[in-house]
Amino acid sequence: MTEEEIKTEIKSFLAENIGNTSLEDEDDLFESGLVNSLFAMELVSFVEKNFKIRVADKDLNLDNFKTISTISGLIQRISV
Amino acid sequence: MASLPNKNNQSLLQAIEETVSRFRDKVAINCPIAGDVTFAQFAAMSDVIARELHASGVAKGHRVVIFARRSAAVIVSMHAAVSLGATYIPVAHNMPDHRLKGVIQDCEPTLLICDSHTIDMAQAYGLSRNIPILELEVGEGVIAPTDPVSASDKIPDSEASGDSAFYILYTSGSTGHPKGVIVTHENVSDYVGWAIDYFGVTENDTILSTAPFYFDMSTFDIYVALASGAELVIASDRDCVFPKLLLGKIAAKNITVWKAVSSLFAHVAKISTFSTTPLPTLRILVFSGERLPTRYLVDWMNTVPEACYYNAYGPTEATGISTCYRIDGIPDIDEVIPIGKPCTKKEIMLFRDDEPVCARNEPGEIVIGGAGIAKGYWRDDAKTSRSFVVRIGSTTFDNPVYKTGDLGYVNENGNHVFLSRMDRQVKHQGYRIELDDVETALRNIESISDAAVICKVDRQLTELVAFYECDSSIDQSEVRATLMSRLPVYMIPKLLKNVSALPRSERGKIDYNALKSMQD
Repeated sequence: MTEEEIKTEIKSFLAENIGNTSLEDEDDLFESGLVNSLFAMELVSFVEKNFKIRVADKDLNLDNFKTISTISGLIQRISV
Repeated sequence: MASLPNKNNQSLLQAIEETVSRFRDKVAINCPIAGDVTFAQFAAMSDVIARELHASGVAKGHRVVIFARRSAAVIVSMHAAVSLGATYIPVAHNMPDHRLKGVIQDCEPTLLICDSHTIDMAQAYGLSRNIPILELEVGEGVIAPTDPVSASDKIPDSEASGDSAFYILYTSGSTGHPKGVIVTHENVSDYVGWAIDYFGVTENDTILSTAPFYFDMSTFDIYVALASGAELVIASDRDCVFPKLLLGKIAAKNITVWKAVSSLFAHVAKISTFSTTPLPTLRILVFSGERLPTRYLVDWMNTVPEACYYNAYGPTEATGISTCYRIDGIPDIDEVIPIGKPCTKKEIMLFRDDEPVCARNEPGEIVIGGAGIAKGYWRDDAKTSRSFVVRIGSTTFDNPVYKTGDLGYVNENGNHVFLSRMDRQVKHQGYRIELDDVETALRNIESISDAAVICKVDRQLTELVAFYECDSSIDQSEVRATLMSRLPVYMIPKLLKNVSALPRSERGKIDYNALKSMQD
């Protein structure tokens, strides 16, 4: 899966769940108040289920889930 | 005088003094920032801060706002304040500028306590212009004033009377202004004494703390631990955000007692590894703060069958738990779990149209009397006299009772069952939220002409959804950003929907039922 495809899937998940379709890759989801911290958990299960990967404890960090770019980066790192 | 059972009629502070002398080298608090703090260290740190507070002019009857990250430093500061006979007001470490200033203006504290993290925010907010600030250094083994002034060597003996204010907690108010609930020494002593006795907590227990310290929920964690000699393990923010880490912490720290908002139990149960993680030490799990999502309770009961499960109910105004129900046997996933029977020294009554409801299964407003009834709302006599009353219809009480605004009934087994709110207050992730408060914040945004907020329930969990009409085009992220600067994070709706017109009844009132069907 290419980086663009991964980002598109993340965007459509976010659009479905928070109703925001104009997100930029670098927008901080938490700082901007787009999602609250409990949503981070939903992001983790989305990433694990949708991309069939397992996020290790050391990667459970808000920094890895704060933007579309960092989520996509995490998925690519784990998938390799 | 407030007393703890089996503790020779001690007040809470006396009970803590005793555990400190009995368990000096035992760990009192395990903190993500300060590490292990023993009972002796806890007392010594509290003493240093109390002297500093005293030197800064804090005296009996004064108020101190604690604005700090989740750490043992908050608990030590709370203890230092009450040991001087002062009252503490804990606030969120990420509280928006606007709301924090509102709280400070409202409660007129003598001093603001910050840590090295929040001090920068306090500076950025310009708070040092309005109020003296005490900065605490918090690190491994260290909780102390960063820049001690002139710690006086003697602090006056200032044990406060039972009816003086122990803490003030601010909760969401329908007018857009949070209201401060005044809870007394006697209220907290009675509650903690009951809880230690009811759950049989001893120095061999380890209590997990996940609730924010500005939330009534944490009263249990902090003081049941300190007064019984149990160890309190403070979960980090990261643990609370990622339940998988929380699960790891429960296992690694051999947690025995955990009381939390029901939604957090639900989020932990959703993790894929939940059912395979052994949690043999857990013995008491108390679901509380909001409607219990039974399907996740069932997951818990299947995964940790040895533990005892409870459903607890109680508003901040009646201090901690007012009714409690022990869940015996695994229920059906769509069963409604009762909130149980009143705690010792508490009384629960149901009223409808000013008349007591006597029949089983007949709904009425839940009214709480007896121990634990708070003193009222800080400097708001009008709201206090509406909710804390000595008379309902023709029934008169010796002491004020608290009208909860919750609807409930008594089932055939004599257990109370919570039905719903009578007004527009909702419980979301355990927080009390007046939907009107969120709507007011939206309407205060210049280009928004009107707004409506609902709380929807999805798979037994709640979500806030906001609908708004706007005159000119305003970007949705701008709306969010403005809300962020005015409301606590938990009050920010998950979904924001711009609609051309809100559905209205013929008389022009917003049709909330129509909104509920619009949400998908």
